[in-house]
Amino acid sequence: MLSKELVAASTTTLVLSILSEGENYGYALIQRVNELSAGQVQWSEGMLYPVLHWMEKEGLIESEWREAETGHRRKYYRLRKEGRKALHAEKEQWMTVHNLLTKLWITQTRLA
Amino acid sequence: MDNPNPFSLNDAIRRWQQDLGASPAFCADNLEELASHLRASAQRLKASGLSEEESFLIAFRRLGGVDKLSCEFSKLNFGLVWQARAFWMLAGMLVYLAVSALAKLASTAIMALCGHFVANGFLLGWIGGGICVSVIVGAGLLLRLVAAGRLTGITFSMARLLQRPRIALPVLFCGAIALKMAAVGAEAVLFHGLSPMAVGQALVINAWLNSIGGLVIILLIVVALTRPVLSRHAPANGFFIALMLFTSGLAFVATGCGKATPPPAVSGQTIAEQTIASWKSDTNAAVEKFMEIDWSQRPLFATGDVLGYSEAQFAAIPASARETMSKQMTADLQTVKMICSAVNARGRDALAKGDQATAERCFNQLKECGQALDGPDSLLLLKMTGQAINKQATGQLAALKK
Repeated sequence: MLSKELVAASTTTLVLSILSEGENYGYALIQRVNELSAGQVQWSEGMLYPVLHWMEKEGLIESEWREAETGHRRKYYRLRKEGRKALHAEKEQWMTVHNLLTKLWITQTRLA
Repeated sequence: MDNPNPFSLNDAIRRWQQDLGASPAFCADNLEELASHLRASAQRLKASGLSEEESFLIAFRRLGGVDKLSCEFSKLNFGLVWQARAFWMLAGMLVYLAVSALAKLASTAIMALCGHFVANGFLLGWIGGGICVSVIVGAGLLLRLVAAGRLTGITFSMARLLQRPRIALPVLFCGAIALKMAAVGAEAVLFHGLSPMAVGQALVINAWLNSIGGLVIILLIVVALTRPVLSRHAPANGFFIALMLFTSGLAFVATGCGKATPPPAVSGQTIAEQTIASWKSDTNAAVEKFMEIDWSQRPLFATGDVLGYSEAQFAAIPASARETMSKQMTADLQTVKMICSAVNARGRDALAKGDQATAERCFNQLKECGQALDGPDSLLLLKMTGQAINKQATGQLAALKK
């Protein structure tokens, strides 16, 4: 299970990444993260919506109420241009950390 | 066996939405989105074989309780949260304004009614003050009952009104202003024809008790709000209560001092007053009476007589009564001057006839009168009159001795 701090730090990046696959609604975002991480990353459900609204205010994403196939209304979110740019920057930063850690751990495994 | 109240997911979600809606942290859009989340989550759980009720309960639990959600959302919607706070503060202020105006109105009406039977301003003031305090405390208790949901009808309509700040605030504002204006108007209309002295005194005492009533209710609110805090920190109890009692006692005394209560009650008229009163019917009798006054006797003027007021007491007379009071004071002073010049004339007559003893008695009495009127607590006008009388009499006495 991922630590609370890391979950909080990665939420925006994860949301941007999932929305880059196409528009989606809140509950489905949570489901997607659950499935892909096999339950390792668990978002507290209520927390996601304030994050989504903050991202919308920042202009990273936009939302629209639409009727779903079930007949109920749902709020769909999609990426905006700024969101794509932000995702690009985030990707670089996370990759930097990832590459650094990988290099360190590979050297350490060789030495061990 | 059929369940008489089958579980309905839609009803459960609606009830839950109403619970959340009570917090100012959520706007309508937030509530709808969270409800749609809850429905999607419950439907998925139901598809895995759970009952509708079970799926709702689990979905509800996963989403998080009202407290946690409203805490998260209030960070985002802090503008809304502050709007709600400002609304409650304003509403509280207006309710207090309305209640104190109502207390004033009620006490004015009762005092005016009693004023036709009781001429004692002191008693009237206490009657009115009692009404004031009871109305304020009664209104506080009533609000407490409404808030506790004991009076279902009023609680329901109040809750509906308070959910609409745009209607509630103007309604409260107009109500408070109307009551305030009614209270001011009632004072001017209902006291008409009553003794201005008694009314003035009654109003001073009444205003004092009115502010104490306000203090009492604020103290009660503070105690009610801090009780859970106090019981959790038991050692601090005594300190807090002592602090509150001390400050309210201080305020009690401070308001009392500011109002400067009129002089204490003395039954019947003093000789000085009788002398002034008799001038109108019989000037000779008034002069005779004047000659008998013991000017070292106190008080010179009994309760309610405006000549007995100090400057501070005169300043504390409410504006509605001040005009009549000053008219009466001017008239009384005029009478005092006329009596004194009559006594002076009598002294000079006696001197012309060679009756030196009578003349000396007249001028001595005038001198003592002047000194008595020029007392440390006298009104400024009375002092000046006294000084003039004293100066004239001293001059006459000096001439007499030559």
